[in-house]
Amino acid sequence: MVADENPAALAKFLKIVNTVKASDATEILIGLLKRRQIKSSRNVAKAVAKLLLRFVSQNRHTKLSEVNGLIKDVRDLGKLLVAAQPKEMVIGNIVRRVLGVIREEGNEENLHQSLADLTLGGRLSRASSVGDDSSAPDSGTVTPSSNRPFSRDGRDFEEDIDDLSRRKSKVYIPNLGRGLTRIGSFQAPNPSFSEGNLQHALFSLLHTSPLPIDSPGTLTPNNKAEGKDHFEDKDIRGDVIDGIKEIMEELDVVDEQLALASEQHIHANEIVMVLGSSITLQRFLMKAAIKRKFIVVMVETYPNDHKDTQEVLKAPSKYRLPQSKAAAAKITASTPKDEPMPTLEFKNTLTSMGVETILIPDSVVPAIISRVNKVIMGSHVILRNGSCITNAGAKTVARCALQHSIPVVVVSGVYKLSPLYPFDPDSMLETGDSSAVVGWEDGDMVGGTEIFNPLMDFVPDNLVDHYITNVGGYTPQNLYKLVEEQYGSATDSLE
Amino acid sequence: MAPTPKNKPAKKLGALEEAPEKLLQAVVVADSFNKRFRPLTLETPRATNTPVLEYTLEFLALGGVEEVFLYCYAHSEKIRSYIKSSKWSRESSPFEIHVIYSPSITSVGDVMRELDQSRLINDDFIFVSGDIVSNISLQTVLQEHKARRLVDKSCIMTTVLREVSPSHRSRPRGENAVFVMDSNRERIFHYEPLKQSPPTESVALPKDLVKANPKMSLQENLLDCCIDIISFEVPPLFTENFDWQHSRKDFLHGILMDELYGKTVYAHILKSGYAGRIQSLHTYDSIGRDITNRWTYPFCPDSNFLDGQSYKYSRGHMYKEADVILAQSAEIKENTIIGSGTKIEDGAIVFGSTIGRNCHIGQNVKLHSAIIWDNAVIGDNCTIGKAIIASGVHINSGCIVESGAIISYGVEVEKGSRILSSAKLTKASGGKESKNSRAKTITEYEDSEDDEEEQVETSMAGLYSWKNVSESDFSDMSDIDEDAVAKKRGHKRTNSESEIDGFPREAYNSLLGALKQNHSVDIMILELNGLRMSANAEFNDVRLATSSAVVSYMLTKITSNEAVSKIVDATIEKLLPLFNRMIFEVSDQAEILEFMQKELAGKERGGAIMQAIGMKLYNEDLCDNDGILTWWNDGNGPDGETPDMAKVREATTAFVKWVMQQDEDSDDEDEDYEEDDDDD
Repeated sequence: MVADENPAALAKFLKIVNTVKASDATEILIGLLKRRQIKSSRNVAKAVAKLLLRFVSQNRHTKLSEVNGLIKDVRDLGKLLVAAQPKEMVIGNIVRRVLGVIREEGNEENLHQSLADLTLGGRLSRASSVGDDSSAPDSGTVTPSSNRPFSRDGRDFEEDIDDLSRRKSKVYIPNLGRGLTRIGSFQAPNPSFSEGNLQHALFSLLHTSPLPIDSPGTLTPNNKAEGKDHFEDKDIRGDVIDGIKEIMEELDVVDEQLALASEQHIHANEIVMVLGSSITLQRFLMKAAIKRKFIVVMVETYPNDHKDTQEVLKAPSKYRLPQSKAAAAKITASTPKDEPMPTLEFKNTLTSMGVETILIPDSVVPAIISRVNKVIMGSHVILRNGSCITNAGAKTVARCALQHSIPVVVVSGVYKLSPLYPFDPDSMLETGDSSAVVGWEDGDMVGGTEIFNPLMDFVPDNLVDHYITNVGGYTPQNLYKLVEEQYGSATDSLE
Repeated sequence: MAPTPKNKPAKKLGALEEAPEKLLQAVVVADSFNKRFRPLTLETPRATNTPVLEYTLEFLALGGVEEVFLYCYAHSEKIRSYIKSSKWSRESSPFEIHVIYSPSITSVGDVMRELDQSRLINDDFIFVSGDIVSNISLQTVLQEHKARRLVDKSCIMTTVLREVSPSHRSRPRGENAVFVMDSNRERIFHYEPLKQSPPTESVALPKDLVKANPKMSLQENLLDCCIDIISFEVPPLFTENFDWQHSRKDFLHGILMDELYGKTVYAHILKSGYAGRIQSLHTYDSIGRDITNRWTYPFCPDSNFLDGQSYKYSRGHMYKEADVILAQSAEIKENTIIGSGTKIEDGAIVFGSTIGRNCHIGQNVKLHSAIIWDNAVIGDNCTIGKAIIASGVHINSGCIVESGAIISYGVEVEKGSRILSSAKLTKASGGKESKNSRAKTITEYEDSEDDEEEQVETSMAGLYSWKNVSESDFSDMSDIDEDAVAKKRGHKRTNSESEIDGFPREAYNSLLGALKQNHSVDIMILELNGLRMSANAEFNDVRLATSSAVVSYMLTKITSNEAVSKIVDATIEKLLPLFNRMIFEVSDQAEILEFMQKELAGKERGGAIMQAIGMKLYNEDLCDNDGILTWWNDGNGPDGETPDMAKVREATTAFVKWVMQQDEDSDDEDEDYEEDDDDD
């Protein structure tokens, strides 16, 4: 939400994280979070995901039998990170997502085991074990490639999807049913998948690299030597790492996915009130501006975000993908056709793209709002009950909008969706630097007044009409379903 | 200390994340070299329940510092073990930290000399003291400094200043100064520290400076953050000038006064951001308040920088750790910090206070802006104002602690006592206080009984009743033209400092300093000679400087009429070798007397001093009859003897008459002698 103030810190962290021990990397990140050198939901999410990747790859628990140990370790790490910066709730989201991935791997393998007990061990593939129809034509072939469900051409995918969604752990699958075309038009980085098959493409997000060995059929000598059940000793680390990599990829592409929905939400000749200066929102508007003519009314959000907001209007160079260059390059390399957002686009301002843009101070929102067709805002975090935490000033805007029955739309990546319930919303809001309100040099004010500078606003669920996420649109009332899909039924307390 | 000029262009490119080849180094001095925190200095000082040093280190980490040298003197073991067990010594620390203890360190100057010897520094570095609380971006300052270095090779320092209103609560008292800068407020031309008592009334500027810069800006409302970016050339300068102690009074003032160095110093004036230095109890209190009020964001209590801290923020700048027990009817108001394990009983009202861990606050206690450290017990019905209650203090019920009191470690205060605002209670430590260490004894001290020198600054009563003490002419920044400056100088003509420029001024400063610090005469001669040679000065300049320095020194020493001759004699006796080296002829004798007369003009007891000087010089054979008579006769002319000077002269009439008498006598003798001669 808050624009990058120090992308260098993130870049540096991402660079060194693989060169130090995971425990050190954790402490480095904790320091960076406490000093607020890494802030804004996405940067934090990226750093946390990268750290978890490192952590899992170095963790001593690699075997299926040790999955509970791994879960515990990750949870403990999560607690540390959450404690370091409880206001960045996205930390908890990412940790919980990773926990979900680990649990899934554990369950999946357990499922294998149980199935293997029933049928002939060693003949089963992962793929066949997940499906109900273990007797599917090619399911018996024990090759690494057959581990991938999408490799089985002509197979009915809905079946797989249903099956998977029942387990409620993977990210995209449950949404394939609705809004598929929109989300699916983002293409997976792997060019080898056929373009037409959206399910394939999406599914490939989950498994881009082949699993490292260990299909049940190939027993390693090690497994034998230990004399344990060979299914229990399966190495799940690779799978978990893949899962984390998917999350990281999602973070890289979430803006593009969101932008794809923009045309459906911004119509010709609409007047849209926009709150927030995040790159996500900018891309969203830019994408719509390609096809539509509309008017944007930018709310300044003084005193914490006004500079960034003005920056957006006049000098967009900042938004030329400074921090995700590497990611963009990677995507470009793998799928040249499907370059997410040409960097060119960000050389332009909204104005130069033919969108009339009006900057207004927060105080005139109540006056202007009646002229507006729609309010679009970014968010810091979305909560389970459909409320969200956004830039300070958002609540006023949403409240005004409600008065005039103007729809409020929150655009946000699904990684910002938190399974937490706002029992005490106040404790979730961050209070910032008082000097943004009054300069510290003013001795009379400093000594004589109480000054507060809340950075965030809590926007209750009844003030939001619609959430646009990269996995589809949701009403606040239905968000809980998405939470279920994202995090499963497991509740991990990271406090 | 070989600088590598080849690296310079590369450094220019050294943007934020592009790692420069050289580590960014910082030197932290974890000692204030004063006694302002007594009797509380026994432990690492802390603000808002976190050691102050922690804030400094976090600030350096934020600034991207990669290597830290922590110099300490007092409590070095404590600091060392603290650092060792802290996160800063772990692998994950953003910088490598070296704790350096040296028993010879007693000032900033010593640290610099030590640095020069140790050769740890290989590039421009950051110099801060270990009591800085700041959230500014060091990178911005650094980049500015480096860009400047490329243009101006002689730039040796960029100091960070913060513009604040004159009455700001966080301005340290007694550390104010006037900065004379160019009109862009970048380069510092002159630095003049201001004294608090007696308040400095005028500031003298070198003549050349005013001539060379028709536009200058003089500013007094700058808070010196004591964050400096210092070039690696500076430590050797300190070695050269072994008497430099203070980084401001001596170094900055000295380097700017002396054009020989040809060095320039720049200022980085902050418009936003926070920077403060906890250098006295007054600033301790105000910066603690700033932290609570989140001016120092992100360095706030709820950042939990220490391991095991668990502060949570709630609306109204209230910070509570886990496991705080609050009674139902206890009222916790704004700006409070409460550490874990603390229990606050029914009916207590806590406002604007900081309470450490495991404290017990009794029923109906009223805490108003109190600072309470760990493990303190406050009995029922106590009322505590803006006081500092150190760790382990036990205040029994019904006490009243007035604003300004300090209660040191482990003191137990009897039931129903009233602690006055000027009181400093202590249980142990130095000298006479120790006899009161028995428990249950109220050791109450009036200020007068306590410490020696820094009375004014230590007194909490004084600290808290901080008013607009120093509203000098310079409190507002103004671009003034030459005329105005000249005018300002004009009405301060009598000030001896303003009359001399260039070499005499330097020599004057150096001599006066040496006299005050009681250096041996050999050193003075050495220094003076060095200065004279380098400036290629005439001997009459030397005499001018010497006489003004000697007179100034005497004037500061002489407080009563009785002391006059004693001090004059002692001073001149001490400086005999010096005088011997500058008085060669009769005219020299006359000249030095004239200079002395000039200096004494208009001064209290000027005449008496002049007479004593003349007498002593005569007795020591520094001046003979001819010299004194020449002076006497020269001055008698109509040309330029001000009434003040004349007054001084009047006072010596008796002495001169006596000298004349002697002269005649000796003339007689001479004649006799000559006669004898003739006889041969």
